[in-house]
Amino acid sequence: MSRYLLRRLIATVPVLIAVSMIVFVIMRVAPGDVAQMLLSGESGSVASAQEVRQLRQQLGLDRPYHVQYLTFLAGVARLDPGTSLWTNEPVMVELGRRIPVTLELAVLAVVISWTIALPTGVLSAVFQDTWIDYVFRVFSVAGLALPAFWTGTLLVLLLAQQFHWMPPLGYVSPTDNPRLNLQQFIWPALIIGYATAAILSRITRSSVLEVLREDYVRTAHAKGLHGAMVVGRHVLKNALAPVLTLSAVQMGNLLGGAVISETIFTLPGVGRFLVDAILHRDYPVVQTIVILFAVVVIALNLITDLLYAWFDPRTRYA
Amino acid sequence: MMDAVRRKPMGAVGAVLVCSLVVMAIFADQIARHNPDRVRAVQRFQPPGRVFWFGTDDFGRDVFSRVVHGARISLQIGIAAVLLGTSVGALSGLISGYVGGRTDLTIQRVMDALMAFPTLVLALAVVAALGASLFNVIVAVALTLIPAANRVVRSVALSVRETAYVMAARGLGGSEPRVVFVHVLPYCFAPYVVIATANLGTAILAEAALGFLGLGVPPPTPAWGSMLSGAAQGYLFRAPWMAIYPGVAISLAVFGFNMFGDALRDVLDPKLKGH
Repeated sequence: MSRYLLRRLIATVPVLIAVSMIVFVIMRVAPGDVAQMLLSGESGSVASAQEVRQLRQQLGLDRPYHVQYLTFLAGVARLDPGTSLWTNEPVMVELGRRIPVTLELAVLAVVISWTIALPTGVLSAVFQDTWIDYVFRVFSVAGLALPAFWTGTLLVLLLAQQFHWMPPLGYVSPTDNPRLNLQQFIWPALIIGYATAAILSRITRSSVLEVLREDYVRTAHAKGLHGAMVVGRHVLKNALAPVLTLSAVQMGNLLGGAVISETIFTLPGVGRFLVDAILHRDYPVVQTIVILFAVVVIALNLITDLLYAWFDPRTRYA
Repeated sequence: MMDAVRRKPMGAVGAVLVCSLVVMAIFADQIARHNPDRVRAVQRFQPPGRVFWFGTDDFGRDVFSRVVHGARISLQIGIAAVLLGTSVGALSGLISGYVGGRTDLTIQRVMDALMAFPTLVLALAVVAALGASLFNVIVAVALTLIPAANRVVRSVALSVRETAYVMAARGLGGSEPRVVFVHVLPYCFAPYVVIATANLGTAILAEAALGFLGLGVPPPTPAWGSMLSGAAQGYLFRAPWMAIYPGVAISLAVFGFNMFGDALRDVLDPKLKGH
């Protein structure tokens, strides 16, 4: 187990280096000079070449690319990836403020997606080709087709026009005011959760259908076990492995969903920070967030593989 | 035909939606009731009615005509991105699986890195780097589709290269490129078609998301995602039709491609036959 874990951890190092290289190159080929943008500010005035050159020197952007890259990489290794070029605050401090927002959104969305996907997927499979199955399938297919940015917009419209209520703007921590916090988070979490549930529900259905055809399930039925007991004790545990895998893969998309939802519902999370940083060419922030996202995706994949082995001993550390 | 509709009703619905989208894109000039870019200062924010079926936007442009022309943009980007992304992915997967060794290792680590990016984040970063234009949006969306196609085709190539007929082709003196392109490549075609079709909906959705975030095809080109951002959000309560109709168009297009893709996968994937 520990050897397997060590091997997997070592394998993530080149992947993370490749991710950091890709994002470094992408940001450096981006048109628009960050020094020029900083000096122009909101007014859009044009700075002199001398001023731009001075600022570039000050920010260390005049150094050769490989020096800039290695300096950044060393900073990441020390958990100090530098200062935001736009806000002038340490990136880690900025992230420290925003990570709890995105984390809360992600956790709520995952809880909502599993709450929707498991019952709908299982019922859809158990009642295959009945109206229950059709209703849940249409429900899940719709979740795949409806873009989160559109459902978010419609939700805001519906809440405001029909209920004369708008989700509170800004961010309130759950420890300060849990009720207000829930009012802020429940809608974006519902949107991301529904989109994720759509995919999970489909995979749950097909996975349960496959297990329902297994001999041991037939045997359990033949022993006279109640249908719900068969599904609960014999089918679910075996059917959940692929659902779990997909759930982790979906976390990457969930982070993408956070970018959209945080923009619509003006939540100051990492996703919105990333969009702003990309538009402002804030190199240290973009590079750090992308690496952070990559670490999350890789870690989730690893945890999933370990859990998968726990669920299905046949796949143990192959 | 009727038998196929009876067996795959959702696939048939998807096919109808896809065909409608294609017709709309090809005959956009004939179907649109007005010039999609024509600004009418005195007819801003007209609600849906007889003259302007889907109303007008903040520039007085006809929303229906813009949605119809938007189909052309969405389909162009969707098809081009899928062809580019899945072809690059499939070709690199074919080489990776067939050649193996260090080539395989290097290509797979690059794919691992691409897969570690959340899809939208990668596309966002690429468009920000290259600048927002039709071509760059295609490249950005295509890039996100490469890893999945690579992995699928690699697995096929890995299994095919060990088969007796491929060894026989090699034994008969066939050159490596000939063996790869004449004997291995045809086996990768079915999974390629499946993954390409399944990705069309994803590509259209990704393009719309980029447009929504202000990094899609630049205005005044009528693109569905861009139509939903900016003014549509600003005037959401005054002119909700500006946001409603482009969203309906995106949803129907993605729904159609997903359903059509599912049905096609059921027909082409031998593992699913009989289920």
